Amino acid sequence: MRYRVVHVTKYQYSGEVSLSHNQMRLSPRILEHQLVELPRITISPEPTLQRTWVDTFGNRTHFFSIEQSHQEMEVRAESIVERHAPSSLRSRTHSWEEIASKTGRPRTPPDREAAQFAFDSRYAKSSQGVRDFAEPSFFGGRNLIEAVTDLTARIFEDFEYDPQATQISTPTNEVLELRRGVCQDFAHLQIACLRSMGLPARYVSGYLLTHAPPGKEKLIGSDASHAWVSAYVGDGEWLDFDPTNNLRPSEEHITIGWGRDYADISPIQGILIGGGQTLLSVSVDVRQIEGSSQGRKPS
Amino acid sequence: MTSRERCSFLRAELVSVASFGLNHLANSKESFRMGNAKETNELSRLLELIPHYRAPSNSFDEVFSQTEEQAKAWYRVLTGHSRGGDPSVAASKPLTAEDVAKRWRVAKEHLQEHACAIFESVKRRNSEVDPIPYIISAAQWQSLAKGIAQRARLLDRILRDVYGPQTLLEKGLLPHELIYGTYAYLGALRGTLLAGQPMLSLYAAQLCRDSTGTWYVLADRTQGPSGGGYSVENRIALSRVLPEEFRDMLVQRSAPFFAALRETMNRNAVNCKGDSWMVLMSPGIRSSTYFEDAYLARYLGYTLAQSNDLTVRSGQVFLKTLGGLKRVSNILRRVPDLECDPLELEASAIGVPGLCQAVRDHQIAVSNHLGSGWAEIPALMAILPRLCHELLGEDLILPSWPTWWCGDPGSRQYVESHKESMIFRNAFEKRKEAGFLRHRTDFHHQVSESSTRPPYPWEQVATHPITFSTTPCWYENQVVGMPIVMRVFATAVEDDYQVLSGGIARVGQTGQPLDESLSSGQMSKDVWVLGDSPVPPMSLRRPPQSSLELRRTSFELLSRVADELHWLGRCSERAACMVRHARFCANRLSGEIDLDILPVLTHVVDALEDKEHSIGQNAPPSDLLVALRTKLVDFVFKGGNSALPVTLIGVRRNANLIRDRLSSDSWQILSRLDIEPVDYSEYTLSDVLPQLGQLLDNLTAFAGLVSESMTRGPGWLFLDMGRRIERMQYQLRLVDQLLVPVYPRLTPLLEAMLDIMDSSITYRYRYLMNIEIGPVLDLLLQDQSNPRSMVFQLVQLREHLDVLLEVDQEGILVQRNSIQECLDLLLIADINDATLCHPTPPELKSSALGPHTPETRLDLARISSKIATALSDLSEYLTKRFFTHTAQAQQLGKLTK
Repeated sequence: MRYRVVHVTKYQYSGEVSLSHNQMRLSPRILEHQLVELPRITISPEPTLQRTWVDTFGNRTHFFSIEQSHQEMEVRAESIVERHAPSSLRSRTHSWEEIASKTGRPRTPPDREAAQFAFDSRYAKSSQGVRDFAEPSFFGGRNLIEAVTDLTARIFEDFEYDPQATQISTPTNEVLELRRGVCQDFAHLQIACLRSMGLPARYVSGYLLTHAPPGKEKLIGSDASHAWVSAYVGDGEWLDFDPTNNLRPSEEHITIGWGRDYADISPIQGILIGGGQTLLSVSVDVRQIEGSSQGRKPS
Repeated sequence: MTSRERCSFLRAELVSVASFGLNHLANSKESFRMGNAKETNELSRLLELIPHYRAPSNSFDEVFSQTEEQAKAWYRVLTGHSRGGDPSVAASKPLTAEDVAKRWRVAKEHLQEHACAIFESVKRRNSEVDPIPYIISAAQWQSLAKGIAQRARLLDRILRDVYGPQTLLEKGLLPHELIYGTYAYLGALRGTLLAGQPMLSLYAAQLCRDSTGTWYVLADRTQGPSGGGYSVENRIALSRVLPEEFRDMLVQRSAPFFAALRETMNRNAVNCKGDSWMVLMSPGIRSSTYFEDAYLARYLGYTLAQSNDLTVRSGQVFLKTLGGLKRVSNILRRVPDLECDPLELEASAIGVPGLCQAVRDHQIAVSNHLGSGWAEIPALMAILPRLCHELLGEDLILPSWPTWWCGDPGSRQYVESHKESMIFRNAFEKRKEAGFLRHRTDFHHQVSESSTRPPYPWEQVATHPITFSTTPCWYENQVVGMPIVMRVFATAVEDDYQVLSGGIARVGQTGQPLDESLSSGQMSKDVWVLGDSPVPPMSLRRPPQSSLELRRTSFELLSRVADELHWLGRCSERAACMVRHARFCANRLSGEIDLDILPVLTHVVDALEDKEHSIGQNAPPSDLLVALRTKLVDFVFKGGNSALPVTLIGVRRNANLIRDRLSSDSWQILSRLDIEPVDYSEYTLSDVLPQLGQLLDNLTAFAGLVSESMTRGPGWLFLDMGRRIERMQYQLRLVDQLLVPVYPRLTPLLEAMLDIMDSSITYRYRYLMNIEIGPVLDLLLQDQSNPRSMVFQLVQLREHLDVLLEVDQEGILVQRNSIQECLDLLLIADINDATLCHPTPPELKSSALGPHTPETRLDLARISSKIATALSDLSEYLTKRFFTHTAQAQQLGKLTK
């Protein structure tokens, strides 16, 4: 399926900003099942310096500095993405213990590459509580994909979607207690669950196509950034799971990139001098260029 | 057992430290070694001279356990005589134990004098220096130095690999947990090192000897090793106290090492066109090593900078100075890498935003390279031998103190079977809290605090306790044996590492833990490597015959420092005005009181704090007196926002921030500005006057030092502008509050003005007791000969601005003109007009701060407001033009979902 994605982020400051340095990860990755055309990022005011590099996880990363005094900054990321359903796995499936032990003592390059995602990171830390929550899905010898699918469903069922309940900094343990949160929290929780079982899991940042209620026009900018989870299933292959919607991402999920958690792949971060209060507004618009599909609830 | 299986075997079992060497020797006297008849000739003679010398029998002792040759050297150092059997000595007068004790008593006294000079009267924890150096023979040192250089080379190679191709990981030689399992590894910096550059420009190893005398490395320091400056300080002090021994024993010099370090810094610096700077980046005044950093920076000739002195513009790194931005080509880093760039490395506001990108673009060299702190993880010590074989094809010369990484199955098995006698620590945490030799429970507690699960085996390392070797020290008026650890340094030279001949040692009292940090233990020691050939003199200072390029003050002062000096000037002046003001009030409110003047005195007391009237003037006189006294006592002792204590804290804080720029005299005066933090409710009016007298003494002493001892450079300029602006603002406020409104009784108000502006004597001398508004205003506003007058301040400010013209002609001219206008206004003003009273116009009456009296001195109000506006414009200009770089950075509002 083909999409046009427009992601506009606008910062308005109460005071003058004399200098700002920023880092962005906003260009969708090119993947086996995802083609990206014309990725374009426009920034205003005009940056003094722009750089692009590929980070240690393979994500295209942009750095830019604005050195003229400004009170407003806008970043517009636009691209055409052709997204297909992921092809079926090439290799046989494994039990979860097999994967845990393969990546616990990695011997092959893909296993070693995957192993780095099995460690705690700032926002997705294993804990006794998380492990207790995860364990029922991981009985002895169970097929990994089956176990993760089950875990995804349990998070979906046990947790309530509630944008007011949490913030970015809310730790996994608290989310576990609250039993509510947003896509980011659910992704972090599921990653922590997998890691507490010794399994590698990535945080995926991206977009999800949303649909207007029947009979109404879809509003521009009504979409949002989304986040989900990718689990290592062995032999260099990863499978995505979306705990917010209890499904396996397919043609309606657009991947920007991934990391150990949100901190590795946050869309925009910056340090600025001056500025006072900041007002942030984000608008994401995912438009299908051809084809159609079923609606999902937003993140 | 997979590596991530829960580690239960480490839980609950605790290791007792009873068997731990250092505690041991505090209790059991029998186990001490003492001199006996069997000792060799040289040694027994030496031991007679240090009769109290003891060393625990289970440790290796530098005196007892060494060769005859070494004993001779110790004899030389400890007694000051070259040979026990020297006939000339024996002939004159045999040496006694008292002679030796006296020698060290005197040496210690001298050292304390020197230390005072060097350490600039800043008292540091455990900063005492032992007059007895640690000595080591040339032969022993050579093999040690070889081992240290090899280790530095090895760690550099390992770092290049993990931040480059990662072949060690691929070959399975480096367990992946060591990289992925710790925040110390900075993935963002992978692939950023320029070919041919070292990861480690400066390396340090913490060394110790065990009970067999074998040397071991306790810890590697790759982040930004501290102690270099400290060792130079100690060396200078000691070589002055023991000049003959220093010369005769051919002690190797440390200067060549620092010259090599400078060369390394030059070689690795990025190419900049034109002038570029090297800086030593320090964590700042809050760091315990700040003074050492300042010392090393001065010794190397680098600018001492904190992260907020640096900025990234157009992808390059600059130092923020009054004269503008100066390009930086290499940073000698003393700040942990995680705190170097808040944009990429840690979610906090410290660091230089954009530094990582500048490194990635090769626009700046950072020494040591960002990420090199990773090599300090204790787990790495466990696998160094095999990495040494792989990377260098050599055996590791200088072993680490045996360390078992519990992530390795074989090691874990060993640890399991020896756990009763082992010490556990975090495999990735480098230092301090966990302490190398602390009780096991400490560690466990720490782990459980930061984590909500028990530690995995791979998160831990285990070691055996160490019994450190002992060495002679001068402690409590005796020569005694104390446990020792030593820090040595290496710097990258072409293809290899050069080791500092010497170092810094720490000695501890028995029973006190020594560890990897430079703050553990009791005292520090200089390390003397005894040469076998004469030492060519060398110094980083220029040879005396070469002519030094003459330097005068320039505008290379750091913006931050100018800012802090400016505010020091403002705060100290404000404090002085407040103290005089409060003193005036105190004098009028004690002793015999003329109750009639109380209502008008209310205005003076109210003016202490810059806010609206708070005391009802119509209250009965006795109540009013109580209210005024309470208000005064509160102002002097209690911390309100605009009260005196807060201002004094401001003085102290600003002085503190630039402590290394203040002379020790100034610093001592300013440190006396504290108001004792006792319950202020205890204070009464009778406490106020002595307190104020003392404060005023110190504030005027500081002002005197500033005017008589401070170089007239940009630093002084900004400090003095602060004083002038503040003095005028205070006076303008008093004019607005006391003289612009027309109150029924004028004389007490004029007296207050004269007293607070320290002009009473002059006035009395000129006009005797006739106090009238015209002459008062003339003296306080217009008289150019009065250093407290408004005109005088304006003339000074104008001169200061003239100096700054060089930096910003356009901006300065605007300010200079507006100051000139104020001057003209004052000089041509007819003071008689200014004293005239007019009915208060309604717009003034209705404003909150305006006069609430029926009549007003309108001309005076106009002059005052004109000058006040000019001053606030000037203040804003200074901030924007010169200090704005110092504004705090903030994290951009993060994206929410």
